[in-house]
Amino acid sequence: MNRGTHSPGINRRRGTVPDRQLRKRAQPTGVSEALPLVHITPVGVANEIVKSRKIEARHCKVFGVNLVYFFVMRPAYRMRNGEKKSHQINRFPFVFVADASAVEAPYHVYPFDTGGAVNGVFDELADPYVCLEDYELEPNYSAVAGQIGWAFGSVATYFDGEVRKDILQEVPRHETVTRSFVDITRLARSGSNQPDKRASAIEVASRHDVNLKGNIRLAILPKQYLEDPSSNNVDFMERLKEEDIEWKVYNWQPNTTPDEFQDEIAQIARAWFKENGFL
Amino acid sequence: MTLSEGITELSVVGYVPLKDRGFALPCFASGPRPNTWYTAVCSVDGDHGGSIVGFETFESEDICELPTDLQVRASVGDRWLDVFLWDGAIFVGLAEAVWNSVSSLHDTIAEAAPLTLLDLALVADRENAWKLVDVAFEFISARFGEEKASTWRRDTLVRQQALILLRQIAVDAGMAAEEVSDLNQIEINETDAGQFSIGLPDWATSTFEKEGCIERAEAGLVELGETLQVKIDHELHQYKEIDISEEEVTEDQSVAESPSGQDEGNILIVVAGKRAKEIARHISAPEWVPDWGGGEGLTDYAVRRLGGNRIGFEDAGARPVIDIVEEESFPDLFVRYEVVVYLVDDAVLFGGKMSSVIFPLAQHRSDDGNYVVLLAPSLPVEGPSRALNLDDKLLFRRIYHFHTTVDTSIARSPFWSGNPRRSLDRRVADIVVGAAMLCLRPSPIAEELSSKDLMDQNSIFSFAVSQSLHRNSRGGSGFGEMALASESVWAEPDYTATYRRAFAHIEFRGRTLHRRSMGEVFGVAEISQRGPDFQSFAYALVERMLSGVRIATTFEVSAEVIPPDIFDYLDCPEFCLGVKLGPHCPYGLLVTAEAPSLDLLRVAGLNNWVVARYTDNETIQEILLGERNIEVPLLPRELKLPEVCRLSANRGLATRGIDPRDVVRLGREEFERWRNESGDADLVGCARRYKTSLRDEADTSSLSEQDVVLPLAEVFNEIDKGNSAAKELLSFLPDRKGRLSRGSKRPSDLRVAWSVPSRSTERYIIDDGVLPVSIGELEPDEVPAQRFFIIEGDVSVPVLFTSRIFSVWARSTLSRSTSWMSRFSVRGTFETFPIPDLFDLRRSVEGPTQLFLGQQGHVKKVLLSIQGRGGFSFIRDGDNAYINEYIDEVILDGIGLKIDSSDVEILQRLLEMNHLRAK
Repeated sequence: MNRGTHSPGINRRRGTVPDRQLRKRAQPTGVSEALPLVHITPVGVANEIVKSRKIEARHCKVFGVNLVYFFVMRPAYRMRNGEKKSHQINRFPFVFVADASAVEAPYHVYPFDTGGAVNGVFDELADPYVCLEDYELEPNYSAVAGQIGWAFGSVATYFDGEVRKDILQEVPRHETVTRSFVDITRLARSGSNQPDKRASAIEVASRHDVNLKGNIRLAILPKQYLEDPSSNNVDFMERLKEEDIEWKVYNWQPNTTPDEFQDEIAQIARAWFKENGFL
Repeated sequence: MTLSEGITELSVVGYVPLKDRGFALPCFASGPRPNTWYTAVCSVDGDHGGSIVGFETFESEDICELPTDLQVRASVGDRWLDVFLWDGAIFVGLAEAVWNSVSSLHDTIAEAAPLTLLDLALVADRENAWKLVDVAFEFISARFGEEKASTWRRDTLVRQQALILLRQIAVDAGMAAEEVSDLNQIEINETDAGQFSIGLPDWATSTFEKEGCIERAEAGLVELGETLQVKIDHELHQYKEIDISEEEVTEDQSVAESPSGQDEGNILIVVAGKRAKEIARHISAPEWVPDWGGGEGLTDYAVRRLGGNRIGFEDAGARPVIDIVEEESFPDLFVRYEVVVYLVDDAVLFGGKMSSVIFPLAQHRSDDGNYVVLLAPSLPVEGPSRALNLDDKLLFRRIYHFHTTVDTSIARSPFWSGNPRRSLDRRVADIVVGAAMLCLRPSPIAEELSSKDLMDQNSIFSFAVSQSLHRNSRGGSGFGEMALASESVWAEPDYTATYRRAFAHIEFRGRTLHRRSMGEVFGVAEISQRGPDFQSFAYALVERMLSGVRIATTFEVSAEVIPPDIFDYLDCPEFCLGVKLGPHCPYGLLVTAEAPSLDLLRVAGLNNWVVARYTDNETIQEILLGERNIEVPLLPRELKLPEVCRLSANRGLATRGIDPRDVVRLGREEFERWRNESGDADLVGCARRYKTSLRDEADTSSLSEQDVVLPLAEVFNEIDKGNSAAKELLSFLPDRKGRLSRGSKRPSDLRVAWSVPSRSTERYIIDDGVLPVSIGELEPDEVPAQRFFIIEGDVSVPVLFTSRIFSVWARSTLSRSTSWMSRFSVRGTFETFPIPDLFDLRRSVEGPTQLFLGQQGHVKKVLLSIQGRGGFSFIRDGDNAYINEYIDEVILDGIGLKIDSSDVEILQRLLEMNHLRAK
């Protein structure tokens, strides 16, 4: 695919009307509209979140407004830029799982991680003539269910990042946005050379802060939070309890690769989703 | 992960703390105040004993720079370096170095951060890591409750350590990086509190088998269990998983379908109950398929587990599936399955509330004549299944909804025709899958089951397969004799199927699909009327065993009336046979289908009867042969024992001999040649004679011919120092294929074997699984093979461990398996054994726990006087009989029994002692 010589990242529309082909493909058959949302952040930030009792909307350079980002169900990492470097979030991830009602009116819903898209993570596979705004879905949970139903067939296959094998069967060649999206999703499939679960993780953005109490159901944190009662761990775990947040731990080790953390966290999340009837 | 190519050496220059105490992320750079930071990549994720395989760039605003005197150079290939923080102090180095540096803080760290200290200990002090497992478990229990502690133990501790172990083996075997990474697909099940089993995806099992690593993995899991003080099933089971990623999404790809319809060939196994779940773990793709003459048929099955932590895919491509789902997540999608099997525990089937899946299954059965719905009772370990045997109204109401009930009890029949090395659970799993395969169309069995004649019959379905065809006793071309007989279905071979109330008798052939061998199988299946005849079954079994030992002429077998009060102690009184072995035999033999309890044995003994379960071959043979004077009450080998507790005082008492993979072994001549030509004083000092047998005990000439072993880790240490003599030793390793592992497989065993006992103690070895106990003395320059257990102490070691009370205990707690030899175990045999107060156990900080004579003056005098009178012989032969009997008398007296106490009484007393000590 010839990408020309422009700077990395999916192009943005500048005043022209987006061609939102994916919206027409929605098939919500049987998929719940109340799927949980996942927010991942480095442990240092998580400490602040728990202390302030809310996930604060921060200024987003891509959209120019304050936003909090979630992925629907999928615990995929979102790096600060598209470089292939290991970052704090990869090495010290902390996961919050929220109810869908935490973001009652999403600011936007995209079928993948817009941050990754803008930073060029999907450049190898994306159609260079399709702009970011073209991929945008309806900003509501019906659109989430519709996207999952159409692209994945079930919540379980969405969680695994496995799109329907026959997804392109009824998509004509001129439907370039849809085809480009399917190409991008290959990155999230288990056989990809550079698996990146963000490539088909549905992104839900909120313009407002999200309070922990009543919204966050689960936290996945390093096992080290269980111990060292003389430090602020006790306080931290007490706060989680006060906010009615259930927790699970993963095995943080300094010599574990980010991929391994990601797999382990995905397994923990999967088990919790199953226990709670989401999978 | 993107490794920075060309960078092979850096220094630990900084770190990022996770918390202010504990491990931090080591950050590497070319020197102080760098522009670019790196993290190291470890050979095995999370293994603090692993090595550095590369560096990757890293960005963080939280990197703290280390003082220059703590900065350490590190190259690719070096051991992993840790940075450990504690109250402002920073420790950098190998896990062992960090462990030693914080030795004065061990208690403090254990109190505040036991999980972190445990991570260190699992590499630096593996032998004693179990203590920290207990501390950590109690720590979490106290703060967050026992459920959280159990979850931590299963998911964070056992799973991760098992994963590290399997990955170490995979890396050593040279497996591809993706395969090593994908081992995180292992399944871990807690089958009981503190008991775990590990499952591998089928691709991993195949690769491990191909690389010859299965045994190492299984041995490693046993060692891991011992290290973590939990029980890990040594047998790795496999599950099959679909790799959907192999199939590319392409524009023109058509929807994958099964050859002729969505449900063709698909099998659903619904699992309900604890025991059923244990069996379901062993379900794998079929190893044979029946050939009904209609072409190739479906062979490439995908096994998918839809419950637990795993989910299946909606579409398995062109392959038919065997889906396994737990009852609680029973999906409303069974219309896709041609055969549905309900694998269920009696407790669930006969519970007060009827299972919610039965009606949907019944509906499925009646919806379409093409579907077959089978009931497969999970087989209780200690007795018959009610679902297979009773014929009451409740049973009828519960099983009416199924086409038939599969006789899973064939799995433990002595006439089992399948793979004899399979464990009981695997056999039942094979039966479940085999029964389903036999009911796939165009099977005549499916036709029969769906016929109107059979629809309302309370039938039972049995089958047997074998790779060889036998003649039956009538000379016909039938299948092997008795292959269909079980505790629940009597299938006497000399009678026709019609006589046996069989509705259908079908002989078939099939093809094996096993990866190692392709061939033909022969099989026979019957659908028969329910109604067990255990007496005929057991009678045939006894007759056959008698003819096998060629003493049929001297004994007369006849059914005998069983004294009525014995029945009160039988759980299944209709499943027993009383036999009188000839007119002069002073006792009756009660053959049961259940494992007898101690109460049953005692009451039977009072009535002059001996009891043995029909599967207890050894005991029945012993009775039939009159091999020893049969003691009444008799203690059989298969027993229903109450729960036995591990005793903390016994920890460290017994140690297994060395793992052969941890040493270099040389013949005596080879060793002498190596020593003369290039021998190195340090390494020669490490050499030990290798004791592989107790037979050379009396043959001193053979001492000079014993092989010699050296610790492999020590050899590598010398190689690292540039010692060429050490390098030569590598040529004596049997398998130099792939990468050699530098780490020890069982370091704690190795340490004990190489340690020198103190002057006041001797070292003894006990042969694994051998009864009467076979014991020998170990010379200071000898180390024993893995089949032995090392026990250290004074003369009390041979005195106690050759005594009658230990013999009774060892026999009753011996692990028995249909697939392995019976074995003792460190935990099951030695750590549970209540040591009488006549003896003292002394914990040692460095070495193993030791056994000494107690300070009770009289007993000590007696035993020492025996030793003084020409020494104590380890062999309980005729010459020593009076001494041994005297010792037994002293020991039995010490636990409140008399010399004429029966084995049953001894066991009863030992169990009481075990429970008292565990409190």
